[in-house]
Amino acid sequence: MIPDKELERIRSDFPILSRGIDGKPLIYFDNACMSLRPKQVMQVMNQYYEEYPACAGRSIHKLGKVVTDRVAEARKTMAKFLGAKKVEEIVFTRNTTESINLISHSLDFKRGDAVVTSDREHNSNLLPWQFLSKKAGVEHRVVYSNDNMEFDLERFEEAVGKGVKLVSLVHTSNLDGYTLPAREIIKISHEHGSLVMLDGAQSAPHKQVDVRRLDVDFFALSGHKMLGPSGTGVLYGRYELLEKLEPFMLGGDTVQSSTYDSHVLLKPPEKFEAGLQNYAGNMGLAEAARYIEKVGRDKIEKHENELNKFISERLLQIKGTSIIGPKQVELRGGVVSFNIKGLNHHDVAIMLDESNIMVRSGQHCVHSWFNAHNIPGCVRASLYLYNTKEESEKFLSKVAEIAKLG
Amino acid sequence: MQNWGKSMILCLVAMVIFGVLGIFSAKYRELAKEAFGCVFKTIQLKPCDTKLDQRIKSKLIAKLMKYSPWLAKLTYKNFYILSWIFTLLFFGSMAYTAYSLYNLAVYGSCSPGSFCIFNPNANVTKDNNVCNITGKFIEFYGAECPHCQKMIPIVAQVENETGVNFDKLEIWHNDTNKDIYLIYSEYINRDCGSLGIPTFVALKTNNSMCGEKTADELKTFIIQNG
Repeated sequence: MIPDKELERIRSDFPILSRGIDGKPLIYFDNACMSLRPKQVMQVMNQYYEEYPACAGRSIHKLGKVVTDRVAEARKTMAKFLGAKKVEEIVFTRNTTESINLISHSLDFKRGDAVVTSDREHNSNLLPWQFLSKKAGVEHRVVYSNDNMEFDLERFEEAVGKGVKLVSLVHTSNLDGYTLPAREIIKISHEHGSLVMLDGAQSAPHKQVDVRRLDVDFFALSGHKMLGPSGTGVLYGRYELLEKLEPFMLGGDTVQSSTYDSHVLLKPPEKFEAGLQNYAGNMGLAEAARYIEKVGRDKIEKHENELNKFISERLLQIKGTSIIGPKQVELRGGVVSFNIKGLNHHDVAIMLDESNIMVRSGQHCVHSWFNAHNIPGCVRASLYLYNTKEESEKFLSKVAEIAKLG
Repeated sequence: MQNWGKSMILCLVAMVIFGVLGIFSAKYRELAKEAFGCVFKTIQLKPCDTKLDQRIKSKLIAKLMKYSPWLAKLTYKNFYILSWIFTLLFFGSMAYTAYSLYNLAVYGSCSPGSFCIFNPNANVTKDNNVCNITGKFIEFYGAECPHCQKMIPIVAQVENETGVNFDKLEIWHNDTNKDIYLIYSEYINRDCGSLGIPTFVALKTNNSMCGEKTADELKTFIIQNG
């Protein structure tokens, strides 16, 4: 766990935690949807708007130069954050969804190619492949988890046979916090000549990610889940692959030059960043990455899982509760998805909200999994570095009170 | 279909209640708008996707839990039965209120024979209530009689307030009416002596009253002889 003193200092960086709602403290357990932002991130963004609100990479005046430097710095920070070999391997996007769509549109898929996903993909890593399947005749294969809801490597080996162009998997699931064995999966995929993309929206903010050590080909993340601004994201891609990809969108700042009937594209990452970019957002995202690194992702991961252990153990002692995901809490990171017998998940979430405890209820954009298992939804408490044991205790006591209604 | 009904009933109630509260607060106006949208959708057999009904239910239960977990559980388990009962009572009381307001406007009392919340100070009892009037009344008058002319607005006011109408019979120029007056002359002489028109006669009791009267005197006459 993060020591109390450090935790106190961290919490003081998040204005909403001290301000609360209507003067009452809030417990924010909806981090898998959107994290809170520290003041450092907001300061960096304000600085852009107040001090150098100009274009990057285009204008050669003083303000333009500052923005160009800051954006380059932000890209460097994100490359370091993900362990990329080259700064040019970092493409700024709007979010994970855009990053995945970039690949689904830009990778040269042909009829008969196949894409493999898991059985609990966020819609962002499911719909693009369903669309591609319909539009281009690409086969979409789903690898089902084992009975303990862990990734089934045997089934995967069967699925990743001939013709699989891309294996696109959720690295850490937003459904239950489970992180799949990425290194083994990537090794197997590469042996079969398939590329691998990881949806890292829920992994990069919470645990150490090193794209080179993983040997992953593409990796996508969102800023809003890692203390960064909304509307920011990153697509990491191995440079030689990015070089071969056609851009998803074309426009300003993606070309060296153009005539009336042709153009010469810039090199990655610029060729993928069409139009004026979210400079303040990208700087904010880099600041968020710096903040996370300063605390330490190993420490964050341990902190969240310790809290999860505390919550899961006690939650299961409450009559009528059941947790979705692997039995071992160690495999569920900082996410506790649960149901209470006899109670609707939305009702539980609204009642918790009445005590300023914020959780998410529903199918969490993993409709396919819930529909396949005939479960209408669940309540999800997702933790982050600023959450405390006291908050967990309050949450548990409220859940116990609500469970009596069932 | 069951969910549709649940959603519909809560949103309908919410729309009316928030609509009334919205007169006083913008906060409720927004909720009334949301409830209206919800009702509109459910009428078209579309789902109400704002979860307003669920929010109302859960917030109410959360508040109840603070006071009585037992009552909260009972309410949670039977919420939709309770909301149907509440809705029926609500619309029943709305209809009764409308009926009372009609009575108040027409008869001066919203609740014949009992306490009326809209005019709580009115001294209306079963015995002196205008709503119990069943008899007929006649006013005999003369076309050029100044006292009769003074009574015209007063009679009109009393008629408006009580719902009782006088048969107005002119007797100075109309012989038929004069013959009718003579039929009642015995009772008129008994009650009025030498006093003449205007003369008010209650056909149910054969009692009469003559001369210029106040509205209250005329109303009392009606109540006592109707």
